[in-house]
Amino acid sequence: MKNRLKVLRAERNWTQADLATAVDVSRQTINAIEKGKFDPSLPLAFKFSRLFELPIEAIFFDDDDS
Amino acid sequence: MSRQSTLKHLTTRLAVWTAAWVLSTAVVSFGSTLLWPEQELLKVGVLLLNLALGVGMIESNRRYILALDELQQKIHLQAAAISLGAAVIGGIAYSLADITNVIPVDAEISFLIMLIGITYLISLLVGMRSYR
Repeated sequence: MKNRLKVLRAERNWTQADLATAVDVSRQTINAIEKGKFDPSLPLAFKFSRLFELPIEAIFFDDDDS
Repeated sequence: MSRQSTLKHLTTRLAVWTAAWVLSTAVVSFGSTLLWPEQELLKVGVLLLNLALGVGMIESNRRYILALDELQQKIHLQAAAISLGAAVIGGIAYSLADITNVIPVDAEISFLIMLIGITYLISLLVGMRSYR
């Protein structure tokens, strides 16, 4: 699964640590999600959705959709 | 309380429980053989204390794991699965080697504990590295 977290974060001038604090996970987890090495759970995806005020499908998308 | 400070608090608690359990294990082992070999009631008492501290350590570890985020929990779960497998496979092979006299000495539980600990540590490091 791919995502736009890095772009959305950069648009807001947030560091990985800032984003990690905002959604209550470790910075390593944000890094792994951004690199596509780890897919977040649905509750965590909803946290990103609420934080960026975007629907989940605007942040995360299937590899085949790209 | 922030996530970082919660984790720091739980890590400290886990370290204290672990240290207490290790210390009580040494007391049971050395105390019962060297200091009070004849006092059965005291032997049972320190053994029960050792078990109680062990239960506390397990509960403290459970709370620590639950406080981790989902990726960290996944890494710990993988490490636990690998070390459990290594303990069962390695333990049985070690026991069979003793029974069939492949090894000249008796199998000791301490080697199995070391195998579990080392396997868990290596699996944890490999897991953390793979998600970097």
